[in-house]
Amino acid sequence: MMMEKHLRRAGILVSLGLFIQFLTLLPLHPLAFIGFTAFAIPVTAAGIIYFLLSLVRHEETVIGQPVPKERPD
Amino acid sequence: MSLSIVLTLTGLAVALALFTALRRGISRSREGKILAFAALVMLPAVTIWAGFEEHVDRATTTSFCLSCHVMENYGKSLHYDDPSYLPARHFQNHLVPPDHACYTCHTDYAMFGGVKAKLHGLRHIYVQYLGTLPKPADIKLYSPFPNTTCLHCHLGARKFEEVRGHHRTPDELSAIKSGRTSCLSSGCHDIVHEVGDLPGSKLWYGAKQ
Repeated sequence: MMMEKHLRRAGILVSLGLFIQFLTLLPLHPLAFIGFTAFAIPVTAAGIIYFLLSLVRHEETVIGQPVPKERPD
Repeated sequence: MSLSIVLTLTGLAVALALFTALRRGISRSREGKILAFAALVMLPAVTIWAGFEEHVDRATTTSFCLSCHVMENYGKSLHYDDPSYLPARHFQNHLVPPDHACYTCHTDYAMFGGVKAKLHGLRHIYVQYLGTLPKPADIKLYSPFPNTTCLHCHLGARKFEEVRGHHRTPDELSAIKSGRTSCLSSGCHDIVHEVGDLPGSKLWYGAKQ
């Protein structure tokens, strides 16, 4: 359930960053380049990093859980 | 990569990232996890790189350089109907690619020349929007125009190697090649943009169809 939440947040960040990139590609203007480097790249990178960190944390949580005891036959 | 491809790739990446974000239970299956990794890491990374390439490439176009108001007169100076103006002669005879005219002559062909040009460009944007704009005629180069930029195309060309003006003294040609004699500021090819000459000058905008 927690992983789903992280996935949703990362997805929204990535799609927002890429949407900004889409908008900056439409006009041919120096400010579009600034918008791309100042907003599109950081927001998308934040989404990617957030997703990767949530993967690592999820793995750590799974590894840290006690192993279920085997039932005697 | 063309703009339409980058735009399509970006649109696809946005759609896939949104689908991954809004689809419930996607992380429960193995296929869902692979899709999430592709949609939130691989495809965005490729898309951002393609976007960066596109932005850097379009920053070298003539229309990009002339999109700032202060450069308008420099753009007009490419259309002087007089071949003694060096940029006009190069632009009108396609001695430089017309779509990349500014960048061809105003970038350093040494290592990191493109990076240096981009950093200068960032400074120009700062001055354009937050600083005090100079008058077009007061705009100066950061450093004297280097011969290496001219030699990038002219070196080895018969016209350059054999023209009488380059052999007035025995070591004239070697002085030009080594940069001891400047192409632009030694009195030989010193008529460049001269935006102050614009009022009243005849301009040429291409052959009539």
